Amino acid sequence: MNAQEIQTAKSSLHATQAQIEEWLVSYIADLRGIKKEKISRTTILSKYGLDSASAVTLSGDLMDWLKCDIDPTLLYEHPTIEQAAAHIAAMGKAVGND
Amino acid sequence: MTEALATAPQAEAEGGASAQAIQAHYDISNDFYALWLDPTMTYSCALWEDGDTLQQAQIRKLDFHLDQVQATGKKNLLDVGCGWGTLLDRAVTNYSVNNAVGLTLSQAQADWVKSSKQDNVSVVLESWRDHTPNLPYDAIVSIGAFEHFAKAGLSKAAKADAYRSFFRWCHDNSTPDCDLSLQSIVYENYNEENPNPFVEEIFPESELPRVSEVLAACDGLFEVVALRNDRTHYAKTLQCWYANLRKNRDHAIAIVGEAVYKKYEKYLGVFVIGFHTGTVNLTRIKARKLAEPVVIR
Repeated sequence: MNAQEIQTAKSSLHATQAQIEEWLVSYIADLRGIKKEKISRTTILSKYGLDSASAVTLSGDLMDWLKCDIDPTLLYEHPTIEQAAAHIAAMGKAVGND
Repeated sequence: MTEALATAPQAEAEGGASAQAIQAHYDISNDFYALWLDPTMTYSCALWEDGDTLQQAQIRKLDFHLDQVQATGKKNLLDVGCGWGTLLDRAVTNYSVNNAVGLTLSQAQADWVKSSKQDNVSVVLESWRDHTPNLPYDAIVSIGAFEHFAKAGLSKAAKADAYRSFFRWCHDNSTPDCDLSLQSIVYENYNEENPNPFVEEIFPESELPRVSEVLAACDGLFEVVALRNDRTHYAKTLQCWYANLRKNRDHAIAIVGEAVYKKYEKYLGVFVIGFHTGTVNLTRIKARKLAEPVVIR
């Protein structure tokens, strides 16, 4: 089972920061073959060997899950799991307030 | 990412990407490109101002280059790598250019331009290396073709020769007052010793120049009048293409299949990052012919 499948049940436009963080942890654990417990939410993700191609695939899969637009530069502007999730959650709130 | 590419069919002899390599990218399907390019089918970095749509920014880019070569009233304009021909049409329609010629190595693009062309627009399916004009050109534009003028894996010296031969060809086939406007992706904060294999997969046989290599190649043949680097403009252009492609995912997959769709989605996204972070840049150069060069190399 991959990270996406694990989290699909929870997917919604109103995912919380915690849910997005969890999705990212599972995704990167799955991608890199690392245990989830070993993944830090405050470590720069390039340390886990994410290159631009995997960053693009990740942001695309995240968009598919959340059904919202996310720029491929997400992990370059917000390079930790915590920062990326906070950014998307804030983006979601901004959309929700429209 | 680049417009069609006029370079050597006999690539092994001349150092550029082959027609076959060009067609591998550009002849996938006009309908596929139409799904995510703007309505003018312009496949190169736009020139953005606040509030622009993609189409407005693409037309601004075309006008920028036509202004750079002082196109108004020119007799014979050449577009090396003319893509789907939008600049040629604009040159004769909006700039009163007498005759506009496009070169491309993409059969799909050549067919497209032929089917829609005006009387004083023509397209030739050949490399600039093989092209002998009826009349010398008094304006030469090349947008997003220079990326294919040197083949991946060439030595520094062979790469320099390949670029030099382009400017020499322009010099040999132009009037003394010819202006040139060039746009190309260039390496910026990038290590050529450690190339990204994914880029080679998308653009077979092609290698990017550095700005310094472009300048060295035209030195003594064309005087550089203006140079601007616009990588943020390309990041924004690619963001639009990427979003358009994703929006049309089902339709795109119906045309080209899932594997090609995924490859393009990834390539557009990777290039967004490349321009955003400055791994690559986008240079636009205006140059004026030195009619009687004293530097002979």
